[in-house]
Amino acid sequence: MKRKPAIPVTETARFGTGYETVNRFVGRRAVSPLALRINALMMPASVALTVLTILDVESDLRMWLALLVFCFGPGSALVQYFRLPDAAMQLGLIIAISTALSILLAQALLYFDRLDALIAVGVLTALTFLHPITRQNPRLKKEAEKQEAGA
Amino acid sequence: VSATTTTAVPEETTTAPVKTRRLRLSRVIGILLPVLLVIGGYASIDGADASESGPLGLIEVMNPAYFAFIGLLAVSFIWHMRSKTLDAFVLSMHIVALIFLFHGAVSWIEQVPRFPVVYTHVGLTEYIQRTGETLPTLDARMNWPGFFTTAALLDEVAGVDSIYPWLLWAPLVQNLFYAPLLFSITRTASTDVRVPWIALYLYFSLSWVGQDYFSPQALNFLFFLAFVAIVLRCFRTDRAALPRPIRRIGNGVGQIVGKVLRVPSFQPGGAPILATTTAQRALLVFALAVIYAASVMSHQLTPVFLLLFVTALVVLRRTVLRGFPLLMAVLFFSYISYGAIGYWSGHIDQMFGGFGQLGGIFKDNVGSKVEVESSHVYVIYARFLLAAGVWALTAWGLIRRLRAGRVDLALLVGFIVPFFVLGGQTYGGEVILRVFLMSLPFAAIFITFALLPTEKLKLNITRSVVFVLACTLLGPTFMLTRYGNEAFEYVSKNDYEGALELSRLAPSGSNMISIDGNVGNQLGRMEQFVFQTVPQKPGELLDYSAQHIYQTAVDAPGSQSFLLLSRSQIANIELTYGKPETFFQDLTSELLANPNFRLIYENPDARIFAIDTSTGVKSPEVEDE
Repeated sequence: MKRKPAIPVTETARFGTGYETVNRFVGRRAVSPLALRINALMMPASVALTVLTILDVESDLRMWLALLVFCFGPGSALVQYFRLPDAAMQLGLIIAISTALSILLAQALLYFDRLDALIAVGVLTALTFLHPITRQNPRLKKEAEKQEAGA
Repeated sequence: VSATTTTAVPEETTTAPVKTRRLRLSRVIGILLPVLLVIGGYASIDGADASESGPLGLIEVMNPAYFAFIGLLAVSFIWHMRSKTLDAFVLSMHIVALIFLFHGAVSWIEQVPRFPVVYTHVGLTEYIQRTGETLPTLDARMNWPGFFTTAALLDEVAGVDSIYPWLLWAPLVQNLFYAPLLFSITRTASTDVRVPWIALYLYFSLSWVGQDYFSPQALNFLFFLAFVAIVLRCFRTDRAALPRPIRRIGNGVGQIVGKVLRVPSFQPGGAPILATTTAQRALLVFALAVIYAASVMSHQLTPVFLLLFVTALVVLRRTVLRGFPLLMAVLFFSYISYGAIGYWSGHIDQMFGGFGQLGGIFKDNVGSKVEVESSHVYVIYARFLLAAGVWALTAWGLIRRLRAGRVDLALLVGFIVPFFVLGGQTYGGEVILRVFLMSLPFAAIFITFALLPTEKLKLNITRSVVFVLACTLLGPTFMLTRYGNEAFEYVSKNDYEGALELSRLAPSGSNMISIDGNVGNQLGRMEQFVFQTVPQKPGELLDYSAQHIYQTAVDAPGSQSFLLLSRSQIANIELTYGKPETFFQDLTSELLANPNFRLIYENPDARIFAIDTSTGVKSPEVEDE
């Protein structure tokens, strides 16, 4: 999926004799590339987990997929909206936001007395697909393009 | 919530210079060597038996070659740090190798997850998974159930009955998760690209507190780092004027410090913040709110640290999130008033009673720790010395940075704010550990400044040797401080199987008697049992006689009573109270000779006795109740 850049991107260059950095404008390009790649892996993983959960398959694969989706799924979609160029920040926030959303989801399901695997997987999968879905929405796409043109 | 910047937003920086992608021999070595060192380190400790740890902990059973690999890793790291262009991938490999060597090695040699308390967390998760609800009266931690609920939901989604199989490697995985966020925080410290790498290396070498097991605080430390990283990288301001009353004090202090250090003027020392648009900032504020809400629901202490941190930055005008502390306070007190009412309505004295009683807090956190009656006390002393050394070096780094004319107010706030929690409560004698942990990311930055206060200084031979020597010495020091409690924090497979057997054998309503609290016997069906530790009267000789254990069982309210004797309890008693090594065998013999005790299960590390309380008479105090 091709993305349009939103903000001017600079890279760091050194100057002088030391290791001091300055910002150097290098053009416009897509940001949050790491989140994009992780999300591309998480989307099929979340679909596979959904299928395994519906079929109630007991396997190590399901266990590892569950762990991956809880720790990386929703965050990999949401961090793309932040358009951060920093890979470390992207990776850290993907994990933190995924687990934070998992906690909020689990608490909400507990509150409504619906601590159910299928509902949880459904919500997490939907969140994992959030960014690609919203990018395809014509109205949101138009708004995003307008905003990008303004930026 | 105010999310608009008051100062011009500088452009973002990226990591190392671009010319690092070429395949060079040094790059290949830089990638392969850390992998080989980890393999070598793990191979050197492969035969180590954690159960043989003595009063000094795991260091007693470690192969000295393991520490040589740690030293070699430091040499390789500094070698690459001295190159003209820093290779981010190679340096990342070194950091990952360091995490594997320091925080994963113990999982390599242990068979089941360490820390008896982990098994209580497994039990709390099991309860939620089985019943689909929480029970705040079961355990105080159930008032902040976010972590356990998520673990239960994860079990459900994964299709497993227990979270237990995943826990052995939890410390390693959590530290790997912390690394990118710590890197983001350390990058805010300086425009010098060497600072974040060295600070990260120091952090993982100094992080001995060991709160990274399967626990709410481990996950909340991740939230703490994510929150701080967003605030410092996207919402920090360095050049806004201080509020008037603080400015007067600041100017006065600045003049005095300037005269003493002979520095004409000070400049903000941080790196530029990330460039963001209004929409991005709004989304990042939303992310902060999500992270904080998750933290509020899953841990008691972390939200307090975060609230204090952001409030202090707002007061000093070091962030543009001026209204955000209000939202945080609303979230925090709303949850306390609603979700945790079961706890605070009955423990208001416990929550706020210690406020301002620094003497009591010091006694609980320091004094009680050194009352150990064995050579294990040297581990406690080593921890205090290491913590004091870290704080002293932090002060030295701050002075070096000031002498270079740089002021890092936001980082200083991050370092100091955790100490304000000391005035609150003892937190079960653990508050100093948490303070050390929360301030360590900032302390690591200031210690790096002690080595490299400005970009203009080269990482010359002297500085490199100092770094390598310090990191090599930190290998055994880390092992002593972090795993010094191994004798009683280690849980053997037999320990675990004994506790598992007890939870299978005991019918609902039974008393689960133990002679020490250091026992992982709350694995499942927690609400169906009465857990009772044999009480000891303060100031009197410890009583572990069969008669005293029997009376405890008679006084307990359950229908039947079972005593679990396990290795972890015995080790704790031996190390803390100086009991002889024959204590386990002597006590077992005494119990076997007593007609009220019947041995129903036995393995090399655990014994289960059924106690016949039919002829017992309850104590007068229990009768009165």
